[in-house]
Parts: sequence; structure tokens; C-alpha cells
Amino acid sequence: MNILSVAGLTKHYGMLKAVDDLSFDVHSGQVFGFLGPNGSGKTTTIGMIFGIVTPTAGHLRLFGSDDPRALAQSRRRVGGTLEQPNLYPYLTGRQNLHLVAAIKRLDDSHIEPALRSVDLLAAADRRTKGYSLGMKQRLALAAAMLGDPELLIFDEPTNGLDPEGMQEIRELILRLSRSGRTIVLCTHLLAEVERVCTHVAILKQGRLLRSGAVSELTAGAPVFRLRADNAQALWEAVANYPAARQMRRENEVVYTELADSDPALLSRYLAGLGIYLAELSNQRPTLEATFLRVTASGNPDAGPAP
Amino acid sequence: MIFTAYRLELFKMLRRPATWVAYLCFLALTILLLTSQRYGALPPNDHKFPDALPEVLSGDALLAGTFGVVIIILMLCSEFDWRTSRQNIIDGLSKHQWFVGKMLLLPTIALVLYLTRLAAGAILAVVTTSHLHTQVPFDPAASYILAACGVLLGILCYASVVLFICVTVRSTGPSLAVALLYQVIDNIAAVILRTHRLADIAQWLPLQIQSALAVYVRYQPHGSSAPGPLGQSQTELLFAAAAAWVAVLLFVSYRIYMKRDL
Repeated sequence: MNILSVAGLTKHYGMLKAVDDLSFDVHSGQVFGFLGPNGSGKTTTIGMIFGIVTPTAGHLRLFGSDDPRALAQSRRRVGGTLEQPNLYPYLTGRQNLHLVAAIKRLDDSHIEPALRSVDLLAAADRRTKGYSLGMKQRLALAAAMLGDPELLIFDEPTNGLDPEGMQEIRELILRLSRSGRTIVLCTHLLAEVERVCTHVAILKQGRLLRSGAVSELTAGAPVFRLRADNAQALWEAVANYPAARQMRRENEVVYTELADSDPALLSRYLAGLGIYLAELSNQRPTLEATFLRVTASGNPDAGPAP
Repeated sequence: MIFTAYRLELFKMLRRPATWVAYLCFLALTILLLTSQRYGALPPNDHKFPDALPEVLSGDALLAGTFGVVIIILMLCSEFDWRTSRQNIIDGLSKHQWFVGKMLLLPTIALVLYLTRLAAGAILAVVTTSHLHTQVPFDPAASYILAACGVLLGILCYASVVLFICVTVRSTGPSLAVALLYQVIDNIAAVILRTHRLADIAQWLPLQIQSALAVYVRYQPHGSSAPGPLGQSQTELLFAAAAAWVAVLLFVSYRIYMKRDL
């Protein structure tokens, strides 16, 4: 089922095109990573989905509806955070959740489990101005999850956190995704996305460069990392090898794709030339490498790289 | 849902320490002001009821207006500073509901501050009365009710100016500065307009209307000697002008808030 559908979404601030003709779909159960460098239009796009930024052009469908009145209703089925945790500092954690529960038309019985789920029960009656950033992030996530919304949108949920805090939030999102919720995760931390997301969209300067399943984006011929005593001889020998593709060299190390994907044949060929490999390893293309290549070239068709 | 939005605004206001600090300051200054009005005059103005009613019902409304301003700005602008206004919308409140919830705070704050002044004045009148009091007949109830409504409408008029400032400036410090500066500008503008024989225009500025509405003699059956540029006959016009300011400022504030991104 199509939970969120965006078509031709555009936002201009004067001459600046913050988001330019953006289209993508998020289906039920997906964990959708929204990637892009700072200023790529991620937060503006999320703001338009949440209804706090008015699009200049384009259409937005939530749960199959794009009627403005129905959209307002549909947004009640969405929970999320935008940029930093937005809390009332003079209220306690419990009181902050009381406000959110009242807005979502829930009674206070939902607050206790929500606090427990983010391990904040002990600090529930302290004012949030005394919370650490990690605690604030967790409370914001608890608020977003109140009422069990079908779609969760988190914008930079690990921003400003230490590694331990990042780990906590990542595990929380993983738990949520395992429970079958549809999640849109907006971040520039690629390792985080690769661990958590099933699908991604890559943005740059407001434009969508690529989108699809993480497995598709990182798919492609495996890249082999080769090292031998004589790097120059190795380089020349591999260059003459018929199945070698997309070669490159970094100091003593040679990288190549193989059309036949059979490293044993290459090893035998090199041995025949008197070149014995000190290292032969298979490098799976990472999302980070794909992202860097796509955003650096600005070319949506740029493929994966090691 | 609008009732929920309003209830949440009250929840936030009552739990905010800064609101209570502002309220207690207002209470202390009100008691000081009323006490000085009673004992500062020669001979001491230690009226008992019903003589004390005019000074309790009307009199200086600027203090309530000023503290109302502080509380309104605290309740409105900090939502923009902390970005809780956008979070409220993300959580499911519509922009319309959010604005109406805030808008309903205006008469609430005006009423609470005015009732505080009434209660403080009444207690003071009862507690501090000496045997020197004079006995005069009560005015018709309508006079008292009109005086109370006039003062409230005046405070609401200034509160609407402040709401407009808040949704335009959207930051606590600058909004506070602009709102307090406005008090000065309104009065200076009135003086300048009067000196250029434009008193007819000057009297319709929001704070001038507020001051004029706080003069009790205006509401007395034979109060033709109402001080200020407006005569008794214009009391109805003053009410209409204040209501018009409130309506226009609320409408413009609403349009600005709805149009701008959060």
C-alpha cells in the first residue's frame, strides 16, 4: 500500500529553489532513508509533508488522499520530529507527553508505556530543561510514537548525540521497523541509513538524484582489491586481463571489477605471469560510496563504487 | 478540538513559572497603586462602598495592559522560539486550531488581570475604610457593568495589538521591546496629532481608546464632565472603535499566521 506519495513537489524561497520537482513514493512497511548533504532540501520536504511548509507547486498524497481537508485528518496518522526535539522546557517529560496525547485525542494511560519504551520513566517528572540532548531526543521519539501512528518521520534523530546516544536511537528505530511500521528517516549519516533503511532517496540542491531499494543502489559487479610486491607489474598485468573493468589504483593497491566475477581465474592468470598476490579481497559497494559518487557527480545514473 | 487547544493553552500558562512571576508582580504593583491612590490624595481618599466602586472598577488600565502584554508574549513567542508551535501542528493540531487557542487566551488574560484588580481594590476598600467615608447613592448597575466592559475591551484592544506584533516578529525579546515601544509611540503619536489639530484622529489610536474607556465618569448617568477629548456622547463610538480594532487586528494576525511557514 502506498502510504506517502509525492509528485512534482516544489518549494521556492524567492529566487532559491529549496526543493525542485521532487517525486517519490513510500510504501507500507518500508524504512525510507532520505539522504542528502546539508541544505539539500530534506527538512523543507519533511516540513511540507507535515503541513508546516506550504509547497509552491506539486502534489502530496498521504494514505491515498490529496484533498486538503482529508490531508489534515491523515496527518493525525503521522508522528514525527523535525530537526531538534521541540519540547516545553518548563514542563516535565510527563507533562510534555500529556500535551501531545491531548492533541492526538488520547488519554493519559498511553503516557506511561511511551515513557517506558524510551527508558525515561525515572526522569518523567523532571522538567525537560534539565534533560540531556539524548533524553530530549528520546522523549521526542516517545511523543512521536504516541497513538501508534502508521507513519513515523524522523528528521536527524541522532543529531548532536554521542556514539552511545546514537546507538540507543538507532536500536529504537530498528525495533520500530521490525514491528512493521513505515518510517521515513531523514539524515546525512549514511552508515545509520545502511543499517536501518530498506529504501533511500538521495537529494542534492533540492533535486532527487536517485531513489530505490538500498540493495539495488548498492548492487553491481563486485570490486576486487589486489595487492602484490610489485604494484606496477600488477597494474599492467591486470590492465591486460580481458575480464578486468573499471580499474583504478591507489598507491600499492589495485581495484578492479571482473566481467566474469571469478577471482580464481585472475589469480591463476597472474601466477602464470609470475605475480603472486599478497591480498585478494572482495569489496561490496557501500551506500556511502554510492551516495558520494551520485552527489559528487550530480548524475542520477552514477553507479555504485567501492 | 478548539476547546482542547484552549485547554492546553491554559495548562501551559498555569504551569509556566514566568507567568506566575508576571502575575505576582502585577498583583503587588496593583496593590501599591491602589493604596497610593487612597492615601496619596489630600484629604485621604479612603472611600467605602459604594464611593469606592468607580476607582475599583476603572481607573488606570495601563498596568493590566502592560502585564497582559508580558504574559501574552511569553505564551505566544516562546512557542516560536522553542519551535513547539510547529511541533503542535506535527502532532495533529491544525494551524487554525492553534491560532484560535492562542486567541482565546487574550480575553482570558484580560479577564483574570481585571478580576485581580477588582478583588484587590474591593478588599482594600473594605479593609482600609475609616469613619470619614461619605455615603452617596449607588449608580445604576448598567453604569458599573459598562465601566467594567469598557476597561476589559480596552485591555483586549491593546492585547490584540500585541498578538499582531507576536505573529509578525515571532521572537520573545524583540516582541517585548516592540510592544513596550508601541506604548510610547502610541502616546507620542497622539500628542503630535493633537498639536497639529488632528485630535480627531489621535483619539482613535488603540491605547488612547483604552485610556478613554477606563474613565469611570463616562459611564455615569449625568457624567457630562468626562475628562479627555471625548465626550459622554461618544462612549458608544469608543466601544465600536475598540471592537473594530480588535476585529481588524485579530483578522490580520490570523492571515499573517496562516500564510507564513512555521
